[in-house]
Amino acid sequence: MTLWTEALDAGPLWMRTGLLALASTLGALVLALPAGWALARRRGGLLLGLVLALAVLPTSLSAIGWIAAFGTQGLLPLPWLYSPAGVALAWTLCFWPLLALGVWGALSCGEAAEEEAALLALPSWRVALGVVLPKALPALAAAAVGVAILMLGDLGVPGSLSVPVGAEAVHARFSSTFRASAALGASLPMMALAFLLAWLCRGGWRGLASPASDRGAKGLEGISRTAYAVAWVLALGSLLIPAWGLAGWALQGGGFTKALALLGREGVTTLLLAVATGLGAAGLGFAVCVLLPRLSGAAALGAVLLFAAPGTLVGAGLIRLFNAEGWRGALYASPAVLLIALLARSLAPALLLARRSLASLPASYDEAARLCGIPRWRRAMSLAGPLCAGSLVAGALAAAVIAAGELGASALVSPPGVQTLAVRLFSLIHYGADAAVAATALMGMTFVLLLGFGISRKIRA
Amino acid sequence: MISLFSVTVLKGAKAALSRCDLQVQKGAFVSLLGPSGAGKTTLLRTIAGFERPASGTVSIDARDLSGIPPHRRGVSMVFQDLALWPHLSVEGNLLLALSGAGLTRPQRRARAAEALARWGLRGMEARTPDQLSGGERQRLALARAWGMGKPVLLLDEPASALDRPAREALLEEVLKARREENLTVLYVTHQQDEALRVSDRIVVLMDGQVVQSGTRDDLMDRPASAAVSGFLGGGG
Repeated sequence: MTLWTEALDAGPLWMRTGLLALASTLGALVLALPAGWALARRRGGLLLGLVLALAVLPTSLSAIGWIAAFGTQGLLPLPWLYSPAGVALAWTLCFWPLLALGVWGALSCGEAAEEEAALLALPSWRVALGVVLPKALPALAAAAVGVAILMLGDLGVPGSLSVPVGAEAVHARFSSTFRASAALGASLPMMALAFLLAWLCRGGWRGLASPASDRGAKGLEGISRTAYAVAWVLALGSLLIPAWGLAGWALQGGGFTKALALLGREGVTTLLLAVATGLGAAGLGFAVCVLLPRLSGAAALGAVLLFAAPGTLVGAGLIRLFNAEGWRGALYASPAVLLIALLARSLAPALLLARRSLASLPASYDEAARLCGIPRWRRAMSLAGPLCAGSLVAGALAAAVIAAGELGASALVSPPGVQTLAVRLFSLIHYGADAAVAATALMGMTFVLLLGFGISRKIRA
Repeated sequence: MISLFSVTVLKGAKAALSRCDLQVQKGAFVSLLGPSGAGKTTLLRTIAGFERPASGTVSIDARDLSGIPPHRRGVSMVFQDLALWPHLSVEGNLLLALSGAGLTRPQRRARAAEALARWGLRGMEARTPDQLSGGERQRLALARAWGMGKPVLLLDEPASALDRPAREALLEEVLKARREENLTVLYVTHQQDEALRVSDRIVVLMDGQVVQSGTRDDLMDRPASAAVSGFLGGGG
């Protein structure tokens, strides 16, 4: 089959996936609005940490959690969980915290004076619906589209539920043929749709990238208090329900003992790869932004594409690139190719954070140094680096978490004897999830929760 | 001598400087006056090499500065926001600035100590900029610029955040440094009375063009236009 017939053949599949992503995004938006509002207006440190932890939790882990809650042996069994509707439910529950961070950015664009002027004439709920939300609409749409694009490229949820939609279908097609054109062809309709949506929302991205520090009018505090309470309920529910399901499951068959054995090998591999990826992504992102500032926009676009595209496509591309004779072959046979795959998939947040942080520095800092004749590398090491350290650390942590949960690319390029925990869990869950999987997922969630609080402290700093 | 000949600098489609001509004699203290948006800061930034002219030439001592990077132009500058590096101590700011000057480490330390003493910052070496008062921050910015030992000093409203006595004290220090080391000083300010009092020459910019240049008496007795007269009369 040619690339185009593959693409045309996959069209109906992506239409179905697109509709699922649309429904899930709308559902996630409903859940995300209170949390986003509360974060923008009240800046609760604990709430931010919790939402952030849930947002960075790999979908492969969250999906196992929701299977534990709503699966056949779960707390509240839903017979339709292993269907497209189940994917939509799981996507909604997995992605609302990430969307809440986008809503936070979108709602931070408001100004207190505008809202206070409206409050003189209107009740607070009408100001919220008629002034605050419409002003944030472009950025809200951009955030929602961003999350929808991530859903389209997500393997964790449909893969764990074994429902052939989206990236799971790409993965299945590539796994059966091992042709990169099959992965690319099957991904093309989705990528075209994602490009189109991202382009249509281009104005909103700018709004998200430059939020004001204004916390809005005090007259809207009643709404903020309600939103804060709702956000806490949702965030705790999203943490405790799957955690409870996982704990019950894990305790049934000595899961924690088995999980420790699992963590011993794949856990250490994952940790080492995640640390290397985090450091590499933060270093690479910073170097690109400082040394090649004119190319950083294009680099950011490329990194976002690699992040949002189905991981299978990235893995297939790497196989095509490195499965050859000579040094490429040597690289392909080593864990380095896995590191390259993880770097490609997780560079985006590190690069974007570095870029944004550097852009926020006054230009005069660098100009003063240039007047003194300080070379570029020294300015990067002595000025830009220390001044952006918080964002670089946050970017490194985000990249490390993404790397730890990455599935699509790492499942394909892992050399013999080297496997990440996410890939191992993904394989195990297809053979029938057992207590060890639940216990491992629970420990993974705990680790990410701690990391989320760490990142939130950096962001607030 | 600093010379600008028919310099035009574009900011997007708008000309921030438009066919601007200016000559500043060596060792002179010249103040740049003008309403906001007149192009005063752009003029300093063009001399420093941060703005590239769309046309015209900038030269210092008959050396055309086209394509010359900022640190090879023989100028130092105090920025409007002072541009003190917030994560470094007072001494760290000076040492990092001097690290590009081709000095050995002991020479850098000696020069930094000299700058600290010269600008009244001795004993504050370990403080960071946010631990300094407004006046001390201005002095640190001046010390950093002075420490570079360049013959031209560009001052972009360095004392705008200070009260009058502190501003005047700082200006006296600048004048003293200029006398002792024959510095050429270009001083952007909104304080007309100060500019008229201390400057050898005053340049009035409006809409990106030099509309008048002369001594205090020239400006007060023979303003070039009603706009200059109105500006000087209204702001003094």
